[in-house]
Order: sequence, then C-alpha cells, then structure tokens
Amino acid sequence: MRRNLKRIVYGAFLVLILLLPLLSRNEYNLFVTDTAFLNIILVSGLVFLTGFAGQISLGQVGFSAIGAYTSALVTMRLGMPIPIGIVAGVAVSVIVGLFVAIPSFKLKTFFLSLVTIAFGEIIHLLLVNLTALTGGSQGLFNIPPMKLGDTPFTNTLYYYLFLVIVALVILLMYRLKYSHIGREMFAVNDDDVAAEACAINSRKTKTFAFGLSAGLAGLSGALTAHMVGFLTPDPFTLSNSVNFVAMAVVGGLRELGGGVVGGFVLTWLPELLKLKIQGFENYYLMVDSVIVLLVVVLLPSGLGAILFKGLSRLWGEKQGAVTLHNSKSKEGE
Amino acid sequence: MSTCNRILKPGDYIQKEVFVARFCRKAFVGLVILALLGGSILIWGCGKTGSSTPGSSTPIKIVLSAPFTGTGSALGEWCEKGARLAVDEINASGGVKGASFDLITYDDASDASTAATIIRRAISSDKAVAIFGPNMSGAVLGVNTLAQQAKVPMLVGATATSLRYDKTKNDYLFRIKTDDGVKGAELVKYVVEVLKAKKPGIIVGSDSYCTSGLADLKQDFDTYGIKIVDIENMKEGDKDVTAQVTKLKKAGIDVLIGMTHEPEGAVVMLKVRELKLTVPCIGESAWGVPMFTDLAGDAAIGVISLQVLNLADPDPRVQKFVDAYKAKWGTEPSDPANCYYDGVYLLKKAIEMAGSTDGVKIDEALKTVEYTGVQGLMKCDALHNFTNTCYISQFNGKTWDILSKIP
Amino acid sequence: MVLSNLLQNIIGGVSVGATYGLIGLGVVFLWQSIERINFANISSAMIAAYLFYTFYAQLHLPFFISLVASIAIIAVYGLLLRYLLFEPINHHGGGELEFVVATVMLSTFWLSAIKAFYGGVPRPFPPVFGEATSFVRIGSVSIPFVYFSVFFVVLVLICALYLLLWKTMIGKMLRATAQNKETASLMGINVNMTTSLAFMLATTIVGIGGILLAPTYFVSLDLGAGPIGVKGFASAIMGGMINPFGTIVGGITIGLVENFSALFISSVYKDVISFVILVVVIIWKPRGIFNWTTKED
Repeated sequence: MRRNLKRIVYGAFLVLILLLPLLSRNEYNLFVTDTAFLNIILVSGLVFLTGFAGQISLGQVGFSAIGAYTSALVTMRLGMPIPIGIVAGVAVSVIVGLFVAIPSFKLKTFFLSLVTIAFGEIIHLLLVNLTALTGGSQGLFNIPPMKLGDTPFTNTLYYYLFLVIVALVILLMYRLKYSHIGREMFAVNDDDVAAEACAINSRKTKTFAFGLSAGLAGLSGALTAHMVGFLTPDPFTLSNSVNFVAMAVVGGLRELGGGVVGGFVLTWLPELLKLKIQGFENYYLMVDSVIVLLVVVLLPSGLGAILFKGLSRLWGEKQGAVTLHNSKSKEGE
Repeated sequence: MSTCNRILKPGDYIQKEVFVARFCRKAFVGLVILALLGGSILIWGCGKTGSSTPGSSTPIKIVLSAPFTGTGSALGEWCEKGARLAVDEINASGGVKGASFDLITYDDASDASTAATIIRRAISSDKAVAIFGPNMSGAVLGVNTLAQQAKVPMLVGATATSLRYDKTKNDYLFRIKTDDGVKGAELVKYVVEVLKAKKPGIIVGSDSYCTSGLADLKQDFDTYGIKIVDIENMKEGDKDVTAQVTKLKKAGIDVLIGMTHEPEGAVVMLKVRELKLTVPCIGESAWGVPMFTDLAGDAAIGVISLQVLNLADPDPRVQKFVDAYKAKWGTEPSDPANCYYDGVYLLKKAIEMAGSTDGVKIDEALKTVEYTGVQGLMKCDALHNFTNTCYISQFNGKTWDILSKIP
Repeated sequence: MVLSNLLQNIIGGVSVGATYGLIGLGVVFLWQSIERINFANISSAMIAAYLFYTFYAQLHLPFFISLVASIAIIAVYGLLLRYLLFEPINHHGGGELEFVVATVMLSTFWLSAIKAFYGGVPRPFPPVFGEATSFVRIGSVSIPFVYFSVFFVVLVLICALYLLLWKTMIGKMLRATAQNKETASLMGINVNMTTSLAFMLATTIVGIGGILLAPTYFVSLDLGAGPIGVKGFASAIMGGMINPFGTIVGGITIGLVENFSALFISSVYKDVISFVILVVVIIWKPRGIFNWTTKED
C-alpha cells in the first residue's frame, strides 16, 4: 500500500509539472520558472562538485559566462546553428574547468575558495575589458533565439525543453552517484589521503568533478544567452556565485534533488517577497538573505534532505544502508 | 509501519523518542516550506489578467525601474521622488480623466539583466500601461526590445547616443532627458571656444554610459581638429587614481574632462587637488549632482559641469518644481527628478489625448503631444528625444552658478 | 617630478595597505581560534563605519562617544557571531563548508540590510582624520594629512596588540589556545573565554579598520563587498595565517604593489594583478611570503 502511495504522489507530481505552463497565462511566472530550471542545471553541477566531491567553488558564474559568451559568439560571429553554439559553449567550459581543478589537488577549503573567487573575478574583468571580443560593458546584443521553424521559442516551449534537460541532468547525477565514480567522489570528500591509500586517484576524481560542474554551468549560461537575447558582464559576479552556492546548500548538498530543490526555492523566494507594499522593495532582499541564513544555520543538511527523508518515512521505506555524514565536522582539518 | 517485518534492535525505543522530537521540529520547517510552495502555486494560478480603461475607477498602473544600487545608486532616489511627486499631484487633482495613477517601483541595480526581469514583470504580471526607466543606458539597451514587442511605451532618463531612434528603430522608446551627444557637443564647444584649450585630457569610467560618452567626445573633438592628449581609464568602485592623474599631469593637459559616475568623479577631484593638477576641470552631468559635491567636498570648488537641472534657474516652472519638491520631500531636488516629473505629466497628457490606455494609442499620442514642463517645451523629435535642455554651470562651494543655458 | 610621484605612491600605498592588514588580522584571529574562515569578516568594517557615521554625522554625538559606541557595538557583534552563528552550526552538524556558506550569506545580508536602511548612495566620511584638502609638505611633495593620521592610528593599534598578546596574561592565554587547544585547557586555561575573546577581537579590529578606510572608500557599500574583502584575505595569507605582524606587512605589500602596478603596468588591470599575486602566493608559498611557521609543522 505504501508503494502505491509513492507511485500516486510521484505520478501526481509529474502531471503537475507537465501541465504547469497551461495552468496560467502569466508569461512572467513562466519566465521565472524557466530561469529556475537553468539555475537548477547549474546548481546540480555545484551539488556534485561541492556536496559529493567536497570541493568548494565560489566562481561558478565564471564557467557560466564562458559558456554563454562562447555560444553567443559562435552563433553570431561564425554563423553556426544554435546547437553547435551550445555544444561549443559547454566544451570550452569543461576544458577551462579541467584547468581550474589543478589548484584543488593541493589546496583545502578556504584557500581553494579564494582561488575560485579569483578565477571568477578574472573572468569578469576579461569580459569587461576585452571589448573587441565580448562587447565590453555594453555586451552582446541580438543573440539569435532558439527557433521552431521560423518562429522564436515561446516561454512555454523553453519550459518543456528545459524540463527535458533537467530530467537528463538528474538522470546523469543518479547514474554517477551510484557508480564507482560516485563512490570515489564521496571517498575523496571524506578524506582524500585515505582515498589515495585505497588506490583512488584523487586528482582524476577532482578533475572530473570540476569538469562536470563547469560543463553544466556552461550549459546553463549558453541556454540563458539564447533565451534572453543579450549578454552583459553584470550578472557574472561573485555575489551571484555566492547565490548559487547558497542554492546548493539550501537544497541539500548530499541530495540528488538538492539542485532541484535549492534552485527552485531560491529562484522563487525573492519573487514571492516582492510584495506590493510601498517601500518594501528596499527590504525584500534583506528578508531573502535572512531566510537563507536561517536555513543554512539551522538545517545545514538542506531542505532537500528534510524533504526526501520525510517522504521516504512517509512511504515506510527502510533507511538506506549508506548515509554519509560530514566526518570533518568537529575536529577541523 | 508493519512492525512484524522489522527486526527490533536494542536501541530502538530510545531512538524513537529522539526521532520524534527531531522529526517534529523538522516537520514543522518542512510544512513551512510546503506552505510557501503551495502559496506560490496559488499565485501562479491566479495570474492577473485584464487591462483598464480610463474613466473607470481602476487605477492606471505605471512601473518605474530605477537604480537604487550599483553604478547608478545616486539616481534611484531622485527618479522615484520626482515621479511620485507628479503622481501624487495628479491623483490629488482628479487623476487622468478620473482614474488615478498607481506607481510601482523596482530596483534594477543598474544592470541589464535585473532590468530585463523587471520589465518582463511589469509587462506580464503588473500589466503596466507605460514603463519609466531604466535610467542607466546599459540597462535600456538590453530591455527596450521587450517593450517594443509588448507594445508598451517606455520613457527613459537614459542618455547614451546609442539609444537614439536612428539606432534602435524602436517606436516605443522615448527619452525624457537630454541626450549625451548634445551635452557632449556643448561641452566640447565650451572647452574649445570659451576655455580655448588645445590639449585636453579625459578620464573615463568603464561602464557603457562612460564608454559611449567617450566615443561621442572623441568625435566632437575630431570635428574641431583637436587631438586628445591623454585618456585614462578607471573602473567603477576604484578608490585610488594616483597613477591615472599622475599620467595626465605628465602629459601636460590644459583641461581635464571627466566622463565618470559620481563617486569616481569625487575620487578623481580629490586626487587632482592632492597632486596639484591646476587645470580647469569640466565634467558631464554626473559631475553636477549633489552626490558628487558631497563626496568631493571642497575639492569640487571650481568644477564646471553640464547640468540637467540647476536650482538657481529663475524660470518660474523650475522654481515651482523645486518648491513643491522641497515641500514634499524636505530636500532639494536633483537631476533626474525633474525629468521623471516631466515624464509623468507627459504621459498624463498623452493618455488624455489618446482617450485610452491601450499601448499602441498612447504611443501614437506621445509622438505628437506637446508639453511645457520643468525642462521647457517638450516635444518628440526625430530621434525620439523630448528635450535638449542643459546648463553649463560652475560650483562655487555651495551652489552652481549658471554660465550658460542651452538652448 | 618622478621622485615626488614615487614618494606619493609609497606613502599612499603604505597607509592603505596597513588598513588592509587590519582587515587581515580579523581573518587571522578567527582562524587561529576556531579554524574557520569568516567570509563576513569585511562586513564588520562596513557596519562600524556606518555606525560611526550615524552617531557622529547624523546624531551629532561627540567624537569620542561615537567612536566608543561604535567599537563597543562591534565587539558585542563579535560575541553574537559566535553564539548565534558558529555554535548553532556546530550543534546542527555543519562543518567548515557550511560555516563558509553561512558567513557568505551573512555578508550578503549585511549588504542588503545597510542598503535597506541607508540606501545605496555613498556618503562622505566626516573629516575626523583631517580635511581631505589639507596637506603636509615634505620638500616639494605634498601628502594628504589623512594618510599620516590613518597610519599613525594603525601603528598605535599594533603596539596595543603587541602589548596585549605578549605582555599580558590574557594575551598569553590567547596564544596558548592558538597553539594547541587541548593542551591549553589541560593547563587550566578557560578556552571558552579565549574563544569569545578571539571573536570580539577579530570584529573590533576589523571595525576600526573600517573606520580608517571610510575616508578613502566613503561610507558606502563598497566597504562591505568586492575587492576589499579579498585584499584582507590576501594580507592574512601573506602573513601565513599565523603571524599578526606578518599580516600587516602583507597588507602593506599589497598596497604598494597595487599602486606601482597601476603606475607602471596598467590601471585597468590593477585588480587582476592583485588576484594573480594572491593565487601565486597561495599555490607556491602557502606559509606566507616569509615562510612563517604554521602550527601544522
């Protein structure tokens, strides 16, 4: 009976997701959800990197920018079709990600975070100053949108496209988590010296983690470029990298669905807080950061962890054999 | 749970106590989150529909996208207060054919991406009849096509020449503040003809307002055949320009032109006084606002600027606006408050002329309507600019003396 | 002409660099005490500057009272930081990573809170360190008085810190717990007290640093975000995360490098150069530029 309950709930959820765009004519809400999907893609990569493999990165928007600008330039200056642009964007992001992995071989949390911050800032500076390539602070305009035949994609079409991509990403994460790569990643997370002692090549694992998360970030960036139609250096700053890490933590760093929960909740939360009270527009960001702060302090394992644990208790599933804790919590390094 | 299948272990009962306690706390949090999600689905379902026709008592929604943070942070407050002063005055005296304005303000953080989200929200969610702003040129470049597609008129205080009609071909984009090209040309004219300078030096910021302003200045100097001796760059947020000012001094300039935002201008002037660079300093309109003089203090004495509003202008419309602003907000107004004040009244006249709040009709009306406001006679010209007024003024430590008024 | 430029750049660089060092001290004290990095370190600087501005320029309280009140509040904030952030995170099972994320979000919170209450407009700092246009003449060179007074304050502060850490019992306790917490508590040192003290010391020093930076940075959101925080970290790293004097020296080095790279290489890429140096130091010389010994040895 419990298994049927699970099927019913999942089924209803699936139906809701598939029919969501048709339930409302509010284009803006649809647009926000599309943005949420793109954030989910990026944050899932971050969950993989930081949650599974334990490598902190405060420069993910750098990869997003690389993917976005590469795809935009390839489609605009070289006249290639959009899918090629997106593939190019992802490819370049992955390659750069492999390089950014190198500092992680020797550096621990704080120092690694500084290097990733530096990376993000350097990318931002390059975007602003390499005007001939990137359009400088004015940016790039009239990036070709995705088209179905001759008509550009509507928000609804983007919704379904992104839904498919998100589903594929989740599938990928699932396969990886329960494969030997996933187990290697958790081992390296817990203690990379011990992992090396078990014949796990921690460098390879870390490189893979960075590459994958960079690729997902690049994918997110490239899709954004074509959906929004223009690119400026403004959104690719440290504070947005921080927002994405917050999404990962709030969603649940150890959860497969962490990216989904965090990306969705923290994309919608500021929108919901934009209440129409006069003068409140000054306060909504503050309230938003307080809520995130509370979640991070009181529920460091994330909302996703609570959600999925609660759901599995609801269905009376036995607790899984492998529940991994952060073993570094109390003793420091 | 079917306990018959479970193998009970010794610690089970004790764990249950702890489990229940923890689960209750976590369940509470989970419920809160679910409530939020549920609430959002409800909001989703009740997407707002319908537009209003004037004459009924449904308010006319207008959205203001203004920079309260970022490079334009000096300006957000003025945009809002200027617009709201006009809205409150209009609503108090009967509104627009009986319907009152409902002004909704958002912070666009001076950047294009945030502005794009705001404009989308204004169009689809708020169903705004017209949009004021963004005020920053970079943001307008990114979002004006959205207004065009949705057929919602957009009135901006953004001044870059890249926003002229011949470049954007956007029928729905209008400018309510003097264009940078006009101001730049006047600035260069003053520098060459009045100051008789032959070796100008420029310090320029890095965002799109600054870089496109620089391009205009270069063009203007070209027409006079004068070569710019040195151009130095700085970034928004830079606090140390020792190197840049040193290089300008070394290049032997005889006038310094500032093409930056307000805090950067203050940083430059402080350093100019420190390094004793004793040439005339003249800045674009960002150098003519209170934030600049507040931050630069005494270092701003003697600075010349292309202002868009001068409080000492004896024109009765200007004085009436200044008095009304002071009465309501307790401080003196600054550019661009007057632009948005004019803009709201302009919109009112256009709606009255069009007899409807339909975007297409208001757009048609805006193209032909005439209104005399704080900035003088405002009429839409071929470049979709409503005004070309500016002043050349000099700061004397307390106020700005008007050297000349254009036109 | 060239010599006077050099002198100006040097003095400016040293003065501003010393304040970077102060920011770095906040990082070092906390790292020594709890082995965690507080990414909201720089927010203390911003908060202190705004508090002082509120008391002195808005409420027109006397200078001394404004100063003492601001510093007292910032010290209490340090205590709150421990009990409302650090302890709960530990209690709920969070580790270094969660602390980093929480403090990062805290710094975002402070930025939006300040923006909500004061607006995003920079304010001029009241001329308590000398008028912006008053200069000191050394031969043919004129240096703004502000540089001297700021540097003087930093010097006094460092001397006070030296006296505290090396000449008092409390200082000895702090240094002992920094070396080895377990042994120190075995020796009868109240580790709980020294931890609280470290938190308060960290926020107070950074707060004073913020007040000293405000004349240059204006009372603005720039004090709590962006490059300045990273420069604080860079100073701490150059000091090997262990030695307070190394941190100050590191900060001064950064200030000088910035000025000279702007003068000789490019003003646009000034920040990039600082970042590159940061990365190089981290990767090649994680013990700081002069190989300060770390406690892991």
